[in-house]
Amino acid sequence: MAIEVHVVSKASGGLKIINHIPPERPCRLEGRNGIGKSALVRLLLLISGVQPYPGEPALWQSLRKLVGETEITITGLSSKHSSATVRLTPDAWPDERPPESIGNWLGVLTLDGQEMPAQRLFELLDVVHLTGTERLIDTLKQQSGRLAVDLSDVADRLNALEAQRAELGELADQLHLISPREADSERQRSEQVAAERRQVEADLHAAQPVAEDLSRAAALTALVETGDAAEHQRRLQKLREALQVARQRLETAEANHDDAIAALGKGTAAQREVAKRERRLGAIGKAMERLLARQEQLGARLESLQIPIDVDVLNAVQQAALDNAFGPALERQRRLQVQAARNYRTQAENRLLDDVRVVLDDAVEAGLGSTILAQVNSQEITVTDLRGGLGFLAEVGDHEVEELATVTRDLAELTELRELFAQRAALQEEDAQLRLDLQRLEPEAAMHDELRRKAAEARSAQDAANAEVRSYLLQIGAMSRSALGGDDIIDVEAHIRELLAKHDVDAATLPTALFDAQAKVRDLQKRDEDLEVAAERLSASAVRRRVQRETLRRRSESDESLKWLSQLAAVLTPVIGKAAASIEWPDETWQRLADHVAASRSALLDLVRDVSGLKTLAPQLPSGTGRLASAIKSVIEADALAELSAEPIAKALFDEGNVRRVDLDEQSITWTTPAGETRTRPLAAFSSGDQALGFIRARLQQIVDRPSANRLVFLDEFGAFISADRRRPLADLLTSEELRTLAEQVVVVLPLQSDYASELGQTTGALHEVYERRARAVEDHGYFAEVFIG
Amino acid sequence: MSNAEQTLRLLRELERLDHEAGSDEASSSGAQVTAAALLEALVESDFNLTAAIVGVRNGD
Repeated sequence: MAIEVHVVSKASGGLKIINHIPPERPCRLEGRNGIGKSALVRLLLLISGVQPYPGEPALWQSLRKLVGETEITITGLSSKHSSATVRLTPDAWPDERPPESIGNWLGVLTLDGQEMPAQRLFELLDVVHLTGTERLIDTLKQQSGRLAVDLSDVADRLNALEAQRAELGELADQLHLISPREADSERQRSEQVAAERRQVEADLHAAQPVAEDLSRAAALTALVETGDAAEHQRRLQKLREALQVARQRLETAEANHDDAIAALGKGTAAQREVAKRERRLGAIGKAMERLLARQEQLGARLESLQIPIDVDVLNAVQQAALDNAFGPALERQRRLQVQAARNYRTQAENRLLDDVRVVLDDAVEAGLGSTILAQVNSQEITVTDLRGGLGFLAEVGDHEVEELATVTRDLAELTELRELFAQRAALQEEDAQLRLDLQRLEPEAAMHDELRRKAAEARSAQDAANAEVRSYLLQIGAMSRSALGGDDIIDVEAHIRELLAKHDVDAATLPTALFDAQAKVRDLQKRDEDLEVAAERLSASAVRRRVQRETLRRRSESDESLKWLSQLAAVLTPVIGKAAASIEWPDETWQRLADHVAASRSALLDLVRDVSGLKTLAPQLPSGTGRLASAIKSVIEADALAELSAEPIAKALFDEGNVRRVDLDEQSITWTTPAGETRTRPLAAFSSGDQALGFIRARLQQIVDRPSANRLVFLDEFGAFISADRRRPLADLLTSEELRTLAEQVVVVLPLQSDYASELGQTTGALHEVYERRARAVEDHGYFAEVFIG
Repeated sequence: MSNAEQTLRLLRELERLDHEAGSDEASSSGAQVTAAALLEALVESDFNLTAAIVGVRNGD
């Protein structure tokens, strides 16, 4: 008894499914295109547990969406159950990729009226779909296409891991950084940096005195060339004497002014108002004198900032020069303070601070600078606060290290200058205001007021004396900075010769030698600073490694997403699996972890790259000679060799011999006959006529060799193969003894072969009856099904 | 044969070709995980990457 199929469907969206396959074996199913022949074949494949659209998500999603309430009933089964009904439940089907494996989500199954899991039907029913256009070369092409589907599926699954792949990359980088091998490498770099720094400092130690000596020689030479040193001293002496006189005049002027103010202070209210302002003007004058004297003392600092020593008020450029000088000095002071503190602390204290510093630096970099870490005595301490204050010890005085003391003095002078000019500006402003006030008060004080006139005259005299003193001070200061300190000209020349001889420099080449010496010092200083930064960075790196190891190990115990790391550590170095959980991992473990994760990451990159490349090449039979094309061809050739070596095919096509080789490049097959003769033939030679029928016979024979109790075989799209003259041999084949056990039902699916209705008038007898039946069925259902007799 | 198994065959074929061409460089660390070995581990772990890394065989 042949299998019969009934379908009741409410498919929508234009999806049609033919509703009946009668129990006629072999069965001819012939109908119009689009009537639902292939759709039924696909659904029958699906309910037998086979994915009908592997690697074709659009088709799968379309079927899922349109198939609707569909019930398929199969009767005539040869097993414990004779009938099966499946009511499809497409809403429960996976809706993205076509699932490779079909599950109970398929639908509701009843076997002989008893409900069972849908997968039970997969054990009972075998549906085979053979396409009649298949030829040897097509077989190979299909194999290539199937590989493309396989690769596409794997590529999709690898793509789904993209986020994890990125995380793995970060972890691999981190493990590399904290690995012992990287630590060794950095240790070597640290030693190199330290050695180079020692050398640079030694070179600097030697180069600085040379530059200083040559600079001194150049300055002395300039002095000798521009004038007589003794004359210089005489002029200086005269200026000092003149200053002395000017100071006496100033003292007298100040005393006169004080007296005049005292007299005014006892006068009328208006006079007292004037006295108050005159007194303040006097105080301002003295304060200005004191500030100017200090400004002159700080002249060298001002000159180094390109600011004239006798400047009254700083302009914007000069103010910026002064402000900008603080940054480098502060940074240098900070570094030296940290270093001094470091030398003061024990190794354990330094380690603690280094660890905290690295953690805080990382936190600042991660944007957590304003996070409050603690509250101490109601004061909130942020990450940035703690980082800024970290590493200083109050016990370390700035004077304890010479270099630190120098930079601290520099900063103190800069600070003093800034305050000095601020004070001067404020005093000048107040002075101007007071003088304006005095002019305003003049009418009330009366023009003929003798006391007021004397006070004003005393102030003018005091202003003049002040200006005179200031002038002498500036002249003396300028001359003192270029003075020879009492040496006479002959001694100076001798000293210059001595300095030049000491460094083997000719007087004629002194400017060049000085330039070179100063350039060398600058270069060495720059290199020293660079090396200091590099050493600091390497030192921080070592600390960061220690902190990160500990953090990572702890996280691998507590963080679910990282527990695999501790599992891996135990796999790679079993000894740690036996140790207490809190124990630190040895270097060997860290190195193995770094190596294994790096190797896995590399393999993953290779895997993604190769699968992607193979996926691109596989849809067509590749013809190139690259590694990917070669691999695809090799696998297809191996599969083809195995398939064509099956006995029925070897018997039908290869003289019952042994298939030796399938060569895709040459598109040929080589086999040896039972007589030992080697034969090679192009694949195309198996594409038509009896060879094609032979191939189909062989494929059917292969199916026969796999027993199944309930098998439906569909021979679809046979096209040219089922031309009228070849239908009979196919019908004979399907009913032959050799294929007796092929299937419970064999359905030959054909497109409409003729317009039966219009040909009714040209037929008579039995053929007329057949055409009449077919025309009616086509008219009613779009197809007909009957016994296939050729 | 599953999709992954076919892909695995292709990757092993690639490895064989690479080996024949002498282009399989040993990593400096000594640890070596091949693409095929990793895919095998991924399949065994149902594409759980970290489980695959723990389970993958390496050549050291």
